[in-house]
Amino acid sequence: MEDIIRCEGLTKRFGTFTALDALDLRVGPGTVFGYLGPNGAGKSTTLRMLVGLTRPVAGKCAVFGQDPASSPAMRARLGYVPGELRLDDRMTVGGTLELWTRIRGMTETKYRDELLQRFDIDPGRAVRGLSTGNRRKVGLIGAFMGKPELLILDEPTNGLDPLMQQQFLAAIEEAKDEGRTVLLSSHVLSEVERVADTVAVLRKGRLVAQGRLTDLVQDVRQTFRIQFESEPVPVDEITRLPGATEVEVVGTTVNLRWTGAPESLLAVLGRHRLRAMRAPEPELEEAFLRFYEDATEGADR
Amino acid sequence: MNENETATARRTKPALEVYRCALRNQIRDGLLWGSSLVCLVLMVAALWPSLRDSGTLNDLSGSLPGGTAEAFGLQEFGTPAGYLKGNLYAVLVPLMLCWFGISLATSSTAGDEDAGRLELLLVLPIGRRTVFLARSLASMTTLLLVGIVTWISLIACCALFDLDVSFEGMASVSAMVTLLAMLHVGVTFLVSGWGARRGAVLGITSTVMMAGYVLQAFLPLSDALKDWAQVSPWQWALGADPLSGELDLIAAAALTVLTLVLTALGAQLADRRDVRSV
Repeated sequence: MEDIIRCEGLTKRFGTFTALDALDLRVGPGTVFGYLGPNGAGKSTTLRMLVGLTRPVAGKCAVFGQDPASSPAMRARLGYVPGELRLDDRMTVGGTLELWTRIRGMTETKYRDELLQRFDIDPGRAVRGLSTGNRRKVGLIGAFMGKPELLILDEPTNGLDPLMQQQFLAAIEEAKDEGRTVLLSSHVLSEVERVADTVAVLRKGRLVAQGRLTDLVQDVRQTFRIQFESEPVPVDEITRLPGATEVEVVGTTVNLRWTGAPESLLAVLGRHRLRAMRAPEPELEEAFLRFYEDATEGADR
Repeated sequence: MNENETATARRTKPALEVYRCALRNQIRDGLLWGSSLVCLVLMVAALWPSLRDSGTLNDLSGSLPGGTAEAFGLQEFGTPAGYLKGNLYAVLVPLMLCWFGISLATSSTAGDEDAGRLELLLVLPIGRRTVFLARSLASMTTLLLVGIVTWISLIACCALFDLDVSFEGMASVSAMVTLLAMLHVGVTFLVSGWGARRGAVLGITSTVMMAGYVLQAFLPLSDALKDWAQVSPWQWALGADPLSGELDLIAAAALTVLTLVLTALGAQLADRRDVRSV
């Protein structure tokens, strides 16, 4: 099936600073794609290019097979929320959404009205008096209201309260269920973890990892909490294992971090009597921090 | 509706929405500037009967060195047309209208871009050129409305305070100063389209405005340089003394064509560059 987003060698420089360096990115239809990276990695620059606000200095990007900067009609098929969302203070919430509705040529406004209710915002309110979170809601409603085939969202939950974050995630899941594509740049890793199928990690304008979430977290250090029947616990045997780090003993319980396949650890444990063992799923946070730390180390070098 | 008509409607309707929205946003500014121009016309016209009867107006223009009176439009200050020209149409009204046009156009282009307000509009299914052209049309419409209100107030005040100026003269001078202001809107769209920030746009366009005035007002004082006054759009608009004469159609056409060219060029430049992020 044809990619919804396809970037090849996408490069963007601002003066001598390279914001994006030969980025290759492909997002297939019906995917919720998490786009991660530390501040200044080039995430917003990528998204701005995908909606046609900026142009690459080298390489190319195509959305629905077209150049976003020179295909205004194509933009009817996408919804966008920028990282720094600014609305026109001279208008009302309803006036703003009505303008976008008309420019989009939408005739059906039922879903827009439903979103206004779900995000609990009064269309009669003046934009001037809105808080950051409420402005964000208007941006989100504007992006979702036309049920576009592609949603490009840059830090979409910035400023939203937890209840509204849930509404946002529900709207993403609806889009996912309807087979629409979402490109989600976010620092809130729990929300990416909840909705994204695939993620890409960007670092200094380069893609350092891309793949299914499950694959990305596979190599992450796992936490084990092992409770033995009685003392003494085999702490020396465990500490000697190459994958074990941060081994800590509390009575009959051993806590440790483990990297790699756990066969050798299980072999040691098999020789002892256990009361319980817990190995919670590694979190995306772990994976993200690992890439981030690598980036910092790289920068230090 | 056939396919071509549908495609045309698809292009024009969003443009119309942007135009309407920009116009709505400019109405308050238009009312304020229109009111202040009406007040200015009213105040100047209201003083005419007493100044005329005092018989000092000709003495005033006669007492000034020839060049100075010419530079500030104060020749024939004792006639109704000369009085209006010296007090309103040589400097003040064109300057106010030009500045109003510049501020409107800057606010709807570079100002909105600097504030990050253009971003959400430019990701909608509407071309960047269309947005710029619709907004320039809105600025020119507001300017035209203010020009018309000023013209009507001039007609009313002349009738009320016994200023004997021809209807054609009032129409001509109002048309020419409005066209001059529209040219400055065009310059503003060109500079904004090129990518200058709000402060730079205001700086460049106001320099163009003041340079135009200075060239038109002072170069004619020198025999060697007076022909160069023709490069000033102020000279095109006011050189033929429209208040007491007929409309200079060639100058009006030149101002209109140049305005359209600058605006189109600005929209083209805007279409080819990056939109600034906040």
